[in-house]
Amino acid sequence: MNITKQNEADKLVLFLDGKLDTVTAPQLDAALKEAFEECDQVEVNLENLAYVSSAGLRVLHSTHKRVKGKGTLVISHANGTVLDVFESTGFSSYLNIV
Amino acid sequence: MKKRKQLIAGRISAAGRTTPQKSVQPDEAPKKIKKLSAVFRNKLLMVSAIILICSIILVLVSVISAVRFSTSDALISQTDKLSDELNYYSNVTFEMNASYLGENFFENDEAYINKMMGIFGATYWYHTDDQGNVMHTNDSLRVNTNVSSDPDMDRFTELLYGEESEFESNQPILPEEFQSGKWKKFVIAPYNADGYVILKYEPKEYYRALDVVVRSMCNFEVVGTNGKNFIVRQDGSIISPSADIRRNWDYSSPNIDIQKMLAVSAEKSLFSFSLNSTNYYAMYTQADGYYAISMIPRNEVTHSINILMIVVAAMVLLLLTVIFLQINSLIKRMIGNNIETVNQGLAEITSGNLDTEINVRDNVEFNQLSDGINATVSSLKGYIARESERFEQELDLARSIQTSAMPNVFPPFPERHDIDIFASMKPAKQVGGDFYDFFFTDNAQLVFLTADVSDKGIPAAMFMMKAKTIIKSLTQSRLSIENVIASANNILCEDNSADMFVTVWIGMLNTETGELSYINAGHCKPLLRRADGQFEYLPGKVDFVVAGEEDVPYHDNHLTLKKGDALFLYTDGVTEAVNTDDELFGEKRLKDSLNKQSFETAGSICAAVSTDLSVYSQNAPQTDDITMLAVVYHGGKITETITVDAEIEELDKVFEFIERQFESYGFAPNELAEIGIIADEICSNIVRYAYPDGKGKLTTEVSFNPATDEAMLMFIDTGIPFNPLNAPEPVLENAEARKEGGLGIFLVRKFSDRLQYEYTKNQNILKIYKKRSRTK
Repeated sequence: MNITKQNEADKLVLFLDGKLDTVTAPQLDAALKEAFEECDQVEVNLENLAYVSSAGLRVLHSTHKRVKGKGTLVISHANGTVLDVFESTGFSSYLNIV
Repeated sequence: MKKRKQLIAGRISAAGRTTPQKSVQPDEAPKKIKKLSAVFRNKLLMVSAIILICSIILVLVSVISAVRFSTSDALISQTDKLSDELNYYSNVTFEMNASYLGENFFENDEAYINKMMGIFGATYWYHTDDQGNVMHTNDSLRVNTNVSSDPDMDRFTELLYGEESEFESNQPILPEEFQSGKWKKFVIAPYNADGYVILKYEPKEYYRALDVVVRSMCNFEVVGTNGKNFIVRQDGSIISPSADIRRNWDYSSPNIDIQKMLAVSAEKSLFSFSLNSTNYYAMYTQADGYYAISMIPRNEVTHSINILMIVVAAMVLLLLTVIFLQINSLIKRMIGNNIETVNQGLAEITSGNLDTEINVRDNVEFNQLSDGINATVSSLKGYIARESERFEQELDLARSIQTSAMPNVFPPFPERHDIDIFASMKPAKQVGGDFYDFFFTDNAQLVFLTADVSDKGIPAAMFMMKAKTIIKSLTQSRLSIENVIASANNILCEDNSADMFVTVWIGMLNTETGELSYINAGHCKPLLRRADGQFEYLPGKVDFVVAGEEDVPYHDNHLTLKKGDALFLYTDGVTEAVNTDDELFGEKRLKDSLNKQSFETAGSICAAVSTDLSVYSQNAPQTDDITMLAVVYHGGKITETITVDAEIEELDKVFEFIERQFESYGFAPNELAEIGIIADEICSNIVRYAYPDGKGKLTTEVSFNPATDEAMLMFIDTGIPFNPLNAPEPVLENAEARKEGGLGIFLVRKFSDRLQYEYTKNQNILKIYKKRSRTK
């Protein structure tokens, strides 16, 4: 999985390309920690993500809990199987998904 | 008991052939039948000939009798004339003598009397009184006698004693005396009122007295052209015409055979008479001591008859010829030609053209005949049409029963993708004995076959149904294919009174492994195309036909099909289809037709052969059922395995392997994502928890069954026994508060079709099944 970081006016956007699974989840976890150190507003763009497994969900979940009250994690452009996973697991109502 | 079947020697063909019947020679040559007009002509000719002959005979008879009458008339007038003339001369001569004697007789003057007698030429003279007593005579025998004592003169007694004063002095010669030859001539004259003078002439003296007068009577008489009159003495010597006249017309004969003449004919009737080798019609009469004969040469009379006959015959012949020709042509025109026309029409009808109409309307009879024939043919046509329609309906029914007995919905196994099968049977006009069949005996065993029953028609169709049912039911009992055919053979041999047999090519394919076992029982060799090659005839042992003989051994052949291989089965209706020149389609053309393109589906293979066949045969009639069956094998179950160390770093290898395999199975990208999630959840679980000491193996096996379109993903580890299916369901309503442990298995369940876990031989084995979507 490739993660591309991009600074925008008031937020940091992480573009995920590939699969978010057990192997790549720690990679996202590290990237998110680093991002929140730089900025409070972090958006994860999932447009080019093939799928997300529970390991990925776990990373997003733990990050969400950790930054709660300090910053905001936004999930954007989820589609296809990724969106299906978010919706069927209830994460769509819990995370900030736009 | 083994039943021996008589089978056609040499190549065994399912097509029934009948041996030609020896034609029966008739013992007798048929009687030659003449044409009606010839019969009429012959009869007419015969009748005409009879009429001709009869009319000629009739004419001949009537003409001859007419000629006889006229000849007779002519000769009667001649003889009457001669007779009258003779009597006249006799009267003149002897009445003169009598009157002279009556006046100048002098009694007792014998010298004078003798002198007178010399002049008159009489033989005897008698002077009698009025009582007939001879007073004076030169007949010494009669001196002083009475005439009654003289047998020649006793007839005068009555005359002399009678009152009659009138009597003929010239006494005619009596015919009966004349013919007997004892005749005398008497001349009587009254003398001196009380006596008579009688002169008596012996024939010699008589003729001397009269010949002189008579001699010249017929000298220049001619009857017709060459006919003659004769005056003949009683002894036949000819008096007139005189000898020197006769010499002039070259007639030398001095007399006529009187006895012969008298024997041939009566007086005054016509008779044929030959004189000097000339035939005459002749007639005679006797006149006072002579015969008067008149004759005319026959050819003079018959000459005209002959001419008449020829003319009459010619005219009758001409008349009959004209009538004959007229009637003959009339018969020929009115009957012969009409019958000929009717016969031609009938011949055309007999040869099968029932639309022929006969229209001979010349007369009432032929009009009725024509109408009758037309009506008969028309009702016959209607009957035939009804019958053939009924027969056709029955055949159609039989054909549809036969056809519906075979699987005919394509594709037959729409849920299976490992096998593509297509078959077709195009029945010949007659109900035939071809059949095909295919079916699965279980999930993986496909049986398929083509067969051809010898003979055609309803019996063959019934035998075919029997054979098909027996073979199918035997295969259900999971016998080997050898046993199936051997048993079917024995069952079909029983009660096979019709001596039919069936050629079969049957194959049993394990669709999972591609193993094919097959038996060829006298059938056409099928063609096999390997995935990368061309159709070739399949070699293999050919066994004896089924139902031919009991307990025949059958041998199965083996072959393994690979993905993309195709088999083409057919019956001899394909290779023995003919074109308009009667040439067979043949095995080479079939192979070329199959190899023309690389056809993908079983249906397109059959369609290509069908098209080539119909192009080849054009309008030539189809004589046999055309049956074909194609099978394309899309491969069996595919299984691949990868084993890695149960470590996070190794998992990418596993995921890549899984993705590659599923991609090759044809799963869609979204399905690949779902499978990716499944793999990640299971693998991560194993890596994290299975091996507490961190060392162990993870084996992943993937397989795909085209038959069911289902992929199986199997994970094996040898770690702590753990059944993920027992994991609790996650509480989704409160995601924030949940334990994260159940989420992975939730996703696995969500994206798979079914799950199966087992723990055997210290192995956790988890099988996850997922079907490929049908959208592909």
